[in-house]
Amino acid sequence: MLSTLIRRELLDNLMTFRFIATVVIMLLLVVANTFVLINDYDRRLASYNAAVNANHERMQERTTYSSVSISWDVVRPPNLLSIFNVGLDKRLSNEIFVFYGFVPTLWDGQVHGSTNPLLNLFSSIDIVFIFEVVLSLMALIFAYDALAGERERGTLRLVLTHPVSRAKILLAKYISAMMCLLVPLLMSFLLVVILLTTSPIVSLKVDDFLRIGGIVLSSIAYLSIFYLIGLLISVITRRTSTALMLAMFVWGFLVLVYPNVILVAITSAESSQERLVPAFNQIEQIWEEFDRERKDYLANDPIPGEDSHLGVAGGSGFDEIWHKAKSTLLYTYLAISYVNKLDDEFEPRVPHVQNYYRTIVPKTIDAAERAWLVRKQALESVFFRPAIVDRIFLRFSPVGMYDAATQAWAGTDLFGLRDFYEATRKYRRTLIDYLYDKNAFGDRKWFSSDKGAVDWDSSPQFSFQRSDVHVNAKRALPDLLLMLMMNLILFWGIFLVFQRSEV
Amino acid sequence: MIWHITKRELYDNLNSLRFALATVLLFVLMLINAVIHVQEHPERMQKYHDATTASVSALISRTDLFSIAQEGPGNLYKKPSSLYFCAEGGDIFLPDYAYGISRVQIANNLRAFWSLYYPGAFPNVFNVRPDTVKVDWGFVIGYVLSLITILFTFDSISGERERGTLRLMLSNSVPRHTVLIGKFLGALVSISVPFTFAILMNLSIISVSSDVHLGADAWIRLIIIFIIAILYLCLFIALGLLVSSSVQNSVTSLVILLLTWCVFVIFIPSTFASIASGFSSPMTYDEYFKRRNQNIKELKEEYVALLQETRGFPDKKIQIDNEYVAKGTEQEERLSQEQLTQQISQIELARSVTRISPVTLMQHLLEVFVGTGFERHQQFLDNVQRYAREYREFVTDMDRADPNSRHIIGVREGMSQKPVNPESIPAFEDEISLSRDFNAAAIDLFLLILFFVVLMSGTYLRFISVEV
Amino acid sequence: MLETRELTKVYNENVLAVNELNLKVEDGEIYVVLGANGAGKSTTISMLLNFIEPTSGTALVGDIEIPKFPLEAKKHLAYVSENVELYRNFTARQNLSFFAKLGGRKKVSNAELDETLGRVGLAEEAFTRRVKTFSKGMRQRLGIAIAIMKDAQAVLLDEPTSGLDPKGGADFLNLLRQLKEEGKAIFMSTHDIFRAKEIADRIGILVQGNLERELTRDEIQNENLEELYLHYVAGYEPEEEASE
Repeated sequence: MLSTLIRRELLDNLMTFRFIATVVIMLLLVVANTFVLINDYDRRLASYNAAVNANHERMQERTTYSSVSISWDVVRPPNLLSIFNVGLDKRLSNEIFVFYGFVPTLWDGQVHGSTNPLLNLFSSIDIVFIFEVVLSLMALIFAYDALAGERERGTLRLVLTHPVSRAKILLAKYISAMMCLLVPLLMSFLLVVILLTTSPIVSLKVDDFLRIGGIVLSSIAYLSIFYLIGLLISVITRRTSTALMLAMFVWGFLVLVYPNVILVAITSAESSQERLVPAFNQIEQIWEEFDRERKDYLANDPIPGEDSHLGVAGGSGFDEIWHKAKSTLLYTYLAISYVNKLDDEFEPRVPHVQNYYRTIVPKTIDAAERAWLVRKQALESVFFRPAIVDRIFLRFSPVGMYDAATQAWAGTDLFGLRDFYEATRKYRRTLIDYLYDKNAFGDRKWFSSDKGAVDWDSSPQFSFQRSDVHVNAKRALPDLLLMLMMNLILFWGIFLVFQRSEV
Repeated sequence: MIWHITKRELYDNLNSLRFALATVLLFVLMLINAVIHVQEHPERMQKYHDATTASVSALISRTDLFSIAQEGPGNLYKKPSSLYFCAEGGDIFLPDYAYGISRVQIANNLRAFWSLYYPGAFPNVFNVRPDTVKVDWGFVIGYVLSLITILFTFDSISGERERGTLRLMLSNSVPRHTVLIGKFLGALVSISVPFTFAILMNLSIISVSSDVHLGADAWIRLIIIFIIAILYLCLFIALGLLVSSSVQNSVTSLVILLLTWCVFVIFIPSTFASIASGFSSPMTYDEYFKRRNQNIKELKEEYVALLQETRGFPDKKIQIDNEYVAKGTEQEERLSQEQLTQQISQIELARSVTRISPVTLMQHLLEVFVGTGFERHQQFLDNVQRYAREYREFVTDMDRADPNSRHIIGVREGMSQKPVNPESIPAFEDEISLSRDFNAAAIDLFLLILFFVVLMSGTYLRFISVEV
Repeated sequence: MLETRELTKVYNENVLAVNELNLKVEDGEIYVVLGANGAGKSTTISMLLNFIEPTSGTALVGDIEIPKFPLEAKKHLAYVSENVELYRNFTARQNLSFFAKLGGRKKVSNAELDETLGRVGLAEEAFTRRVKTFSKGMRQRLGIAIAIMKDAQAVLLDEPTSGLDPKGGADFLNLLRQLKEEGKAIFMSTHDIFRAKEIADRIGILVQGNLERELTRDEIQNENLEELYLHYVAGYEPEEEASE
């Protein structure tokens, strides 16, 4: 019985102009944009490689341990799955400088200079965006007359004269429409995957396929939500023309208006800068305390004066920088020394310098760690939490849930990117351990290369491993469940209304 | 006769669900737009004001001609538009300043003069908030109003045919073009009425607010913007009528229109821009710095080599210093200019390709008349470059006016030592002019009108031969 | 007076819809054209209204050639179609007024509108009701009212009685008689033999675009119309839904 109904519905849907037209347009859009996106990924990958090489070269030029602190840059590789949902992947900083004197965060990075910044004038689209717009529209166009139309034409009465329950009719409509709508969806994904696998620059791993599978799953849930919204409209309106209008306005609101309007509407006028002031003062105190200790040390040193370098190089080849940025709570102390040749007259001072660094560098690390505790909390509450709140508000539209779920699968969401900064922090710890191991702070090579340069070959290398699929799944799960729940609620609502409606 | 048809259309529309929904939508969006502008604009103006004051005070603190000539004008800021709420034009992605400072150290005590630098804007590097489109008039008109127009016109002919009223109407001695024009005007009036009221509400909120001042020039621009919006609206009405008269059934008409809308309004602007920007690869910042360092290194080496020969000839040293200051300044400026030109030509290509989409045309036009966006940015850069010439001429003129000077610009000893009246240093004025804006808008305006004429004549040809 | 001269319509080069049709409807006469679906009835009416151009031949209303001066001719033609939904959001009065103005009337008083609506038998409470609440019979009456209001010399009716109940049908025929009294030339297409028999002054039987037979009032009374109709239509095989 159910299969008879489904077969009729399928035939009815598949042969329509609207179906064929949307499929064709959708595939065209997907193919065209996949090419564009793969090219874009290629460019970003090239730029990443260039940045890595440049950093490596710069690193080799450094001859002392301390001077490396201005060039120990790590670069974030572009995420292949950003083709599906770009998220924050292209936007946030992709190069960050790792140094013992401060704990790196998302707010300390920069963009390695490879693209034209004016290109940001053009909005970029990804595969998920195409689905967001076209699939939802398609689902509504399929659904708006599913019940209203049958009622208008009188076929609903005719069907109900047979021993068929209303639930079955509803189910048949849903299943068949979803089968139809899945055709363009799956075809699109198939095309994208084919294009990706045939492209020479891209290599997909098993994990990536699983992630793409997750994106497909989320797309199906999203599609289903919009179909059910259309069905709900169809069941509560008497006429198809009313249903159509309502469906179109609902679409315009949910897809076009709400996601763009809600964020400006909820943004508080309160300046984030002011909320950072107390934290900055705290951090400042930590560093001032450090500086006092440093100056005390220098004052008690047998060599007179407060010269941080104890006059070893006479000032050349030595830089001392206090780095402060109120807007991101950055505060650190850099002392870099790269003396090539040490005159004999300074030789007696060398042990003092070694002692100085042996004491001061760990203190710098310590101050940095203490500052980080304050900084972490303040940055999270001022920048991170509002971003989370924004995303919660966005979820009132299915577009928001879908976007969040696919970003989580692709790893381009906030948490996926945070993994990278987490990795840079870990890398910093490894570097510090490495320096301790080498007893680098008290080494002559810390400040002078006159007795041979530092050999960097044995230093730990940075590599960023993206989170496992199960982590992606865990992050996507809440949104997937939310979508599923919305599906169930909608279906239940439709069923209740349809049960009671006149035919 | 036209009026009867128009009136009927109007009456029909005013009673419909879509009219109510469209009105509510437009009003809400325009209200949000106005409230946000009233909140944000004073902040923006204050920031600009503070920044310009700071850079002017730095400028007039210098009194001797040499430091004026060497240090340069400092930061030059782009004046924000008071009509920012109409079209934000991606302004956050455009730098709002350029700077002229002296950066190149040729030797220990020789520095090249200032040259112009063009920073890039990376507003989002720290921004973890989700992406959104700014709700400005450009968004409301470009996306929402065009969608509403489609929803108003998709059945305007096919629906009448389905109901049989088209036959009945044409059984009277009414020429078909009259029916078409009547329908066109009916749709135009019924959409532009809520739109106009929404705009008036928006403007009244903004103009009542004491923090925002709109001058006469701004009102003229607003009227032009309104006319552009109506023209854009007409384009979509013509499209709606064309499709509606070409197909048999209203649903097909709607599907075609919506897909066309999606493709032209949402996808083409970004997809085509991405494709077109792939054709050129402007100088990257890495490349820029590499070349710059190379240039400076060569300059230094040359200078040092020449310096050996001048030992004992102070006059000759002054000549060489002068020569190298000029050379250093010139090559620095040339390089940043070269990078800028390449970046701009890449954007221009991408922008011209996306002109195939009417929404891009409309947004370009809005940006031009509002004074935001890329066109405006270029105007700002022109202003900056003109000012740079003026500033340099000022230095030469001042020096020439002093008979005691040796007129060797580039070294302190060679220049006029007379104190300079700080008031007389030219100040940067970021001007915009309506006539220039019209010139900049000409192509877009022409294309928009052309699109409209083509669509309208297509609709006419289609409708007069349509079977009823 | 309504007249066709050798009126011919060929669709797509080879589908003959109407073939050299010659007929004449005098003022004060009701001419009914009978035919099966696709016989060319609607095509003929469409040509009379210049909705489609005839392939050859011509048609006249009074002495105005319709294909040559369509706008002028349409001033003298009123049209009632088979199933017109009219403007759903408008009341009966608004619909009537709109079409009256479209027909060239400058000012229409409510009294006149109401009189016409009353004449076609609409109840007074229906005058200000929206048409979307109307039954088919009521809409058809309103259609007639629109035609009456136009006060044209010739009235063209395309299957006007299909789907009407007996009472509605009878009322409708009475209205037609009234129009006839007023001296209008009435041209009606139908496949309802009984109503045709009841009202027609002359009947033409159209088969595959050819006017096979024309019957006068007397012949209508005497001959067995059903048999005649079936005789002509029996050999008919539907070719294509040529018109509409």
